[in-house]
Amino acid sequence: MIDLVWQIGAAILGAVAAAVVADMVVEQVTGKDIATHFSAWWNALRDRVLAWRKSNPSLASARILARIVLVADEAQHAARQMVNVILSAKQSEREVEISSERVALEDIQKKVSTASAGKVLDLTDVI
Amino acid sequence: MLRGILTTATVVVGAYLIYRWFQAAQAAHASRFRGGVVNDVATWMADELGEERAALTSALFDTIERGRPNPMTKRLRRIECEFAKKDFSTYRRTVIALLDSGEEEGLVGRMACDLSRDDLPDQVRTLFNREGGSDHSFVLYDRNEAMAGGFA
Repeated sequence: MIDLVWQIGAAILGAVAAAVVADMVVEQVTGKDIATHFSAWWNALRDRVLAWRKSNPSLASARILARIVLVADEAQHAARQMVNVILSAKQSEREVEISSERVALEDIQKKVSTASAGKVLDLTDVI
Repeated sequence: MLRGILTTATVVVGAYLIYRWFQAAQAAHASRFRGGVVNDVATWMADELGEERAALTSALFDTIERGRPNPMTKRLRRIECEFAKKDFSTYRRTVIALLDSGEEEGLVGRMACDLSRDDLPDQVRTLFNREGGSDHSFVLYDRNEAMAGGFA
């Protein structure tokens, strides 16, 4: 029994060590870690599936696949958020570009974004 | 019998802790985004009005979140937030703030930065998933609903 526990522990440690080494090598070679590569790949896949569903709205397989992808997307997003809480990960430093201009009130409608396109939603429950 | 009760209790407590963990993660995520927006608007307003940024940040939270009028933000007319998709993983977040500046003109500030998809608020992420499109715009604060009707 104790031998089995040791074997399982050694296998887990080996796997973690291999993952860390692989991550370091990938980051050295490509400039991005494995998680970033996976995220980019997943985002591209999700967008393609959603675009496919949009262009085939009556296709049952497209609807089912899109639903599976969305559920998986929510799950991986929630998992990343939860891991970030443990690691106390902070949002990477943002570079904010700030500009300012004086505008005649009659021109404000043009300056104040796409509100005029009718896509204004209330974000007060988010903020 | 006792073993069954202990197992059930462990599963229930574990599930509850995971749920609380999930809630804490969501709250931290929303708080991070909210703090970024308010901080950017406060930075811009501090430059324009010559006020202290920390005091403006607090006043903006009061005005936007709690709906309390604050003398420091009385010139603030409207805040919008645009999200434009740059690629699969990167989004451009632009906060647009409008301040009263005399009777015939206003002061428009734009605070833009890039965010990863994970940094977007859940509601915005869901909207991009559901509706697609390359950009979406939100109203965060409007002092005067009648004026909002004018913009829209």
